[in-house]
Amino acid sequence: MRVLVCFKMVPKLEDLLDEDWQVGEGLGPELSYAKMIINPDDQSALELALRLREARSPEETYLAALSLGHSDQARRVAQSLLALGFNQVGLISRDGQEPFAPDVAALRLWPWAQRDFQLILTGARSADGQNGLTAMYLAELLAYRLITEVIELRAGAGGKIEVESLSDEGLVSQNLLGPSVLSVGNAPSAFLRVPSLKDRLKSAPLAPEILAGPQLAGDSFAELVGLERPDRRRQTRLVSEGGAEEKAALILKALNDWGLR
Amino acid sequence: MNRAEIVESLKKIVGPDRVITEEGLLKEASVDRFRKYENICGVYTQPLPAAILYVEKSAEVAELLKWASSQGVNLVPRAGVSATEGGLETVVPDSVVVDCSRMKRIISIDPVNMQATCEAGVSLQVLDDKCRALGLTTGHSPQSKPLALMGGLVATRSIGQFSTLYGGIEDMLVGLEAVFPNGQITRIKNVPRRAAGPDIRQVVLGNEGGLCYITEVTVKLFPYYPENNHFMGYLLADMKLGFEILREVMVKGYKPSIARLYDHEDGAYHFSHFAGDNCVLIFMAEGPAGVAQATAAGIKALVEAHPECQAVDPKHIERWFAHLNWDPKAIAEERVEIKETQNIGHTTEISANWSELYPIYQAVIKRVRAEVPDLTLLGGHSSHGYINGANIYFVYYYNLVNIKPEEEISKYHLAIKKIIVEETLARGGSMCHHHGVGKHRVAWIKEEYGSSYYILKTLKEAFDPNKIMNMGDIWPIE
Ligand SMILES: Cc1cc2nc3c(=O)[nH]c(=O)nc-3n(C[C@H](O)[C@H](O)[C@H](O)COP(=O)(O)OP(=O)(O)OC[C@H]3O[C@@H](n4cnc5c(N)ncnc54)[C@H](O)[C@@H]3O)c2cc1C
Repeated sequence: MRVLVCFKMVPKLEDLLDEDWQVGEGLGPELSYAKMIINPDDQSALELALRLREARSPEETYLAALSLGHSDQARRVAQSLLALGFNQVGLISRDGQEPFAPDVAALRLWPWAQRDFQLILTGARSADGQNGLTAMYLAELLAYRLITEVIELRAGAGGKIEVESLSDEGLVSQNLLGPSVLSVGNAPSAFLRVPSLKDRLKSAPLAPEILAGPQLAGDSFAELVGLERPDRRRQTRLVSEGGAEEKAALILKALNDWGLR
Repeated sequence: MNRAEIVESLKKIVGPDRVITEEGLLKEASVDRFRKYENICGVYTQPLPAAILYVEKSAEVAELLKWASSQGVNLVPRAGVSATEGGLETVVPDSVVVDCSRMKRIISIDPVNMQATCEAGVSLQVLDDKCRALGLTTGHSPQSKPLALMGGLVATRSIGQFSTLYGGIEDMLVGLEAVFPNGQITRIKNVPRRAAGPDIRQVVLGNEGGLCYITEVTVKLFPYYPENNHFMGYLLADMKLGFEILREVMVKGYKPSIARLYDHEDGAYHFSHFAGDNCVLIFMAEGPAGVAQATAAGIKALVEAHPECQAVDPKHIERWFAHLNWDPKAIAEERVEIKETQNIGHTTEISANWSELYPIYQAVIKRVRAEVPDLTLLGGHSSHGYINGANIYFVYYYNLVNIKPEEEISKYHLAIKKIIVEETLARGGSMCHHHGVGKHRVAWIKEEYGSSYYILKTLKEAFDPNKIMNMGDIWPIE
């Protein structure tokens, strides 16, 4: 069985100073000084994949990991995934200017995901994106089944894989019947393990593959036509005088003044 | 005296409300961060103390110590519980843990004489924040600043991250009050200097609760100029050159507040976003604007005369530094992470003269790599420089493979500490730079002191003849 885990590098937001959160010229906080880490949900996806292989016969489970971008930090992380026993780690080149939109990400991952992987795991949400859409787009492109909010994978009898996921109704357990995309979210007890120095040394001759990204012109689900900052100005007027009726009138007037009514 | 009798006596001394005998709390009180894995797993291997006692006044402490001396009951003083070397372990059955965290009165912040006096249970973070609001600082900034209390910081001879400018706690402490096992309350007055015989503050400083109970401390204050801080960072390929540059900075007479050198492993842990596989040199200059500028310019010229060093954007250093301290939230997060990943980290800090630092560093790394299994990180940094040498803070993480919780220490942590201590002592260094001896470096204490162990031994015999003060810490139980 071939398993692919798609992971994303995200900034460690705890490292920012207060001044980095002041939105200046750009459209968001100043992230250039933040350390990059594997997105927490993606770490869980990587760990669940490693556990699945341990639970099945390890020889029968081929593990690959794939990410967009090949910065030095991404390469380091990729190297440590090789040390943890991933058979293959690919880093797809991406144009630095390209917005990190979920549809674009899915399109970039798609050609590699098509290479005979029966199981594709991703984190449900990224720390900086939070839209949860990449897995959905990817499943649509591949025409695979999608299970969201996955929290556990188990090797069942007869080579079956049992997936546990959260739904509005509660915990759902199901056996995988065909190729699937699993979006892993809020999995408890699924911190990514740490490779030992010996494993790192052993895997030093291996290297992540730098993969050329596909040309995307015209292929995106949507075309970006503009960005605008939402108007988040706040105004306050204290209404303390008068009885209830008078207060209601004053509130109404304020709403009118502010164009909110 | 049996446990019940001990508890009854304690209740008579301080009243029932301040004597805690709840089993869960006693278990936690039997260890410190040395046995953090056992603690996380809920496995406690040390004899449980009979009680935890919260003291509030010096007179009460005096009565307690006199009683313990007469009954032979072992007392383990406790402050902020950030000890890392087993200083808080209750190795003697039915010990009493004597906690000073309720002695938290700031007695004075004196901007004329530039000193602050407070009770032993005052948090350094609280004291320094109060001083900073007045444009002053204690200059003390250990990474445990949000956790540690003033009594504990004095008891362990702690040191902060700005030590190259402000010194260790021994340079900051002006005077104090301490209670000795015979019930004697002693006060050492607050003066700029004295030559009236030996400096007796040193008997109290670093005693780790083995000689006396600290109840009050006075520390120096300095003006606080954060707006003048200059951060500098450089990448370089090897530690040997790094030590040479650190030495050059110190020997030429510069006084940066921070002078640090990280090896590539420890560096990768902290600085993966800009350091690649390099070692990292870090400096911070502070003080009045002109002094800070001149210090920064001098160090910059000195480091940049070495073409092997590549400057990094100082904003990286500033951001890294802003998040270095450990608060209770970080401790709680670490617990979860250790439990989940079964990967744990510890540290051991030593000091040595300049000529021995690199040989010690090399020997330790080589031996630990060869002799200890399951390592995931082995590195170190130097974070406190002096005219004649510096410290090395070895950092090691390992995966916990096929062990019971109580085997973590012997299989990994002590095995590594032993190598570090052996290699340091063999080259004339000190096995403890700032965490204290605790209960786990006692095995080498005689080697550490050599012939001067006579002085240390005599101190214990003179001040604690009935062996009631934190037995097994610093002094071996013989
Ligand atoms: C995350 C972390 C970072 C750290 N960073 C640093 C650092 O940068 N620099 C540094 O020097 N240390 C550091 N330490 C070690 C530790 O914080 C220091 O040793 C500190 O001084 C302990 O203070 P405490 O108040 O927590 O004392 P405790 O841990 O409660 O006690 C420490 C020792 O002092 C004794 N003691 C406590 N109170 C008294 C008293 N009133 N009278 C007599 N003896 C007493 C205890 O018996 C024990 O032996 C760090 C520890 C942690 C966990």
